[in-house]
Amino acid sequence: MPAKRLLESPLAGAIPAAIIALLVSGLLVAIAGVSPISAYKAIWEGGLGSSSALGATAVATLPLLFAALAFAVTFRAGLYNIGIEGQLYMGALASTVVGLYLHAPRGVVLPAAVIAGMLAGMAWGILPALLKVWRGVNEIVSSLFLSYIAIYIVGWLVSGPLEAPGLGVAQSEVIPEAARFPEIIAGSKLTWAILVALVAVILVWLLFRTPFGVDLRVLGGSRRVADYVGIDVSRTTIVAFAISGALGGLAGSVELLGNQYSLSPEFSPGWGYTGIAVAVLGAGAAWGIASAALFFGLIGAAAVELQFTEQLSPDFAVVVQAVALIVVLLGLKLQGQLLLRRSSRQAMEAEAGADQAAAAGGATVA
Amino acid sequence: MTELLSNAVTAATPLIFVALGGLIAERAGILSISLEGYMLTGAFAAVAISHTSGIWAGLAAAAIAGGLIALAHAFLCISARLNQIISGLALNLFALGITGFLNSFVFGEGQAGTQVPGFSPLKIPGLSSIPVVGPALFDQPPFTYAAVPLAIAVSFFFWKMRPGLTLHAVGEHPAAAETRGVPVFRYRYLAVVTSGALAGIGGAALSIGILDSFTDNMTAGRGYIALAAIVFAGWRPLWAVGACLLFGLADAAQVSANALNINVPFELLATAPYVVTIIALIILGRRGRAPGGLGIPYLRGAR
Repeated sequence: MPAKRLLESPLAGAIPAAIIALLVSGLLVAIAGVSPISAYKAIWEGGLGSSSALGATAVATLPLLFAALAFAVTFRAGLYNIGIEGQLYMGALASTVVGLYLHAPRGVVLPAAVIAGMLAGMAWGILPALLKVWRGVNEIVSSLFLSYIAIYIVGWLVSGPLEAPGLGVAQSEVIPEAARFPEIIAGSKLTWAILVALVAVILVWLLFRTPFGVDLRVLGGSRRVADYVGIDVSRTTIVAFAISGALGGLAGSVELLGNQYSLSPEFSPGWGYTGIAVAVLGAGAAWGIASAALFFGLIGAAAVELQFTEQLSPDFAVVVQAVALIVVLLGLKLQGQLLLRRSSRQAMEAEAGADQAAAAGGATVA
Repeated sequence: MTELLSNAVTAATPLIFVALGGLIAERAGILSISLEGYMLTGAFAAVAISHTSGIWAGLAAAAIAGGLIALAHAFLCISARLNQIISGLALNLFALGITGFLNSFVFGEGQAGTQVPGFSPLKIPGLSSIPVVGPALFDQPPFTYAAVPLAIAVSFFFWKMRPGLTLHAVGEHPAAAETRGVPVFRYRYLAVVTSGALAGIGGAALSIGILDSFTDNMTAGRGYIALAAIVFAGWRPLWAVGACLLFGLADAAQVSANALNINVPFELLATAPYVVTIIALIILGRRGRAPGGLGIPYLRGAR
C-alpha cells in the first residue's frame, strides 16, 4: 500500500528527477575535468552552508519562484503566458523608475516600487489576454513577442533617457539604499524579499482555493464545460493574465530591489522561461513550485560556486535544469499511464464481476 | 540603399532556412517553439566542427545536431504525447545550456568567439555589379543562393506533391488521415526531424555563413523571429520567405540607420518584426490559417 500511495503522489516524479539531475550534473562536471564530489560539495558550500551561501540561494530562487507562480496561474486555466520575461523586465523598469525618482523614506519608496513593478507587469501581461478576447489572437505567440518588445524598450531606455552617465555601458543609475530590500543578515543577499515570496506563495495557494480558482481549473479542463456552467471565459482569461502579469512583474521588481539595484538589457538570464520549467516541475501547485524553485535555486547557487572555485561554465546549471524538467515530464507521463492502465484494469475486472453476477442472476431466473 | 538591401538579404538568409524548417513541422501539426533551440545547436555544431574538420563537415554537423534536438522534440511530443509548448521550451533551455557549456569546453573559458573557417560570400561576376540590387542578389554567402531553390522546393512539395498534400492531412486532421491508411507517426517524426535539420542549417548560415564564430546564445531570439515569419505568412512557404526578407530589412535598417546618423534608436527598430506580426494577427483575428491539428497530441485510435 505505501508503494501504491507513492506511485500516485507527484513525488514519484520529483525524487527520481532530483537523483537523475544530480547524476547528470556529476557527469557534466566530470567531462569538464572536475571531480563530481567537489560539485556536490559546491551545493553545500555555495547554496546552504553559510549566510552568504543562503543569500546566493535566495537570489537564485526568488525570480524563478515568482515567474513560476505567474505561469501557473494561467496554466491552470489552460492558457499560456509565455511572455513572463517581458513582464519581468517591465516590472523591473517600473521599480527602477520609482526607486530613482521617488525621494522618500524606505517605508514609502520600497512598497511603492514593489507595487509599481506589479502594476507594470500586470499592464504588460494583460495585453495578450485582451488581444485573445478581442480578436482571437493566439496568446502564446503574442505574449512571446511582447517579451522581445519589452526587452528592447528597456534596452533603449537604459541606453538613452535612463542611462547612467559616464559608465560607457547601457545601464541605469543605481537605486538608493532606501529603495532596496533590507538584508536579514548583514553582508548576505538574504533579504526581506523572501517575506514577499512567502506571501506570494500563500496567496497563490489561497487563490487556487477560491471560487475564481475553481473557475480557472474548469476552464483549463474544457472551455465548453466552462461555457455551460456559466463561467465568463473572457473575464476569467483577462483576470488570470492580470494576476499572472503582476507576479511576473514582481519577479523583476524583487530582483531589482533585492539584488541588482540597477537595470540593464542583460538584467535577466531568461528567468521568465526557466520559471515555466519550475512551474511544470512543481506540478502547477503553489508549494510544489516553491520546492521546485528552491531546487533550481540550489543548482544555480552551486553553479556560481563552481564557476568561482573550478572555473566551470555556469551554463551547466541550465543543462541540469532542462534535463530535470524533461525527466519529470516523462516520469509524470509514465505515472499517469500506469495509473490509467491500473484503473482501466480495475474497471474491466469490476465489469467482468458484474457480468458474472448478471449471468448468475440470469441462471437463477431461468 | 544598395548596402541596406544587401544587408537585409544577408540577415534574412538564416531566417529563411529556419522558417521553412518550422513550416514543415507545423504543417504536420507539431508546434515549433523549439526552432530557437535547433538553430542555436546547429550554429554551435557548425562552428565546433568547422574549427577542426572544415566547413562542409561543419555544415553537416549543424544539420545533424539540429535534427537530433528535433528528434528529442518528436519523441516527447509524438510518442510520449507531452505538452508541445513545454517540450519545446525545455529543449530550448537544454540547447542554451549545452551549447554554452560545450562552447567553454571546446574553446576554453574566455576563448568564446574564436574565429573559425566559414563560407565566404560568392560574388557572381557581372551580375553583382548591377546597380542597387546587384550586391543584394549576387554577392551573398552561398546559403542565400541555396535558400531560393529550397523555398521553391518546399512550396512545390506542399502544394503539388502527394506526400506534401498528405502532410497537410496529417496536420489538419490526423485521425482522418490515419483512416485513409496514412502512417501519421512516421510522417510527423520525419517532418519534425527535417525541420530540425533545416533549422540547424539556418544556424550554420548564421554562425559559419556570416559571423564565422560562436558566442553564447548567439541566435538571440532569431528562432522566434522565424516563428513570427511563419505565423505572419499564414503557414505559406513563399510568403514566409517574404516575411523573412521584411524582418531582415528591419535588422539591416538598424545598422544602416546608425551609419547614416538617422536618429532612430536601433532597439526600437529591432522590435519591428514583433510589432508587425502582432498587428497582422490583430487584423487577421480568428481567420489565422494555423493547421487544424497544430499542437494537439495524437493518440492512435482515440476520437
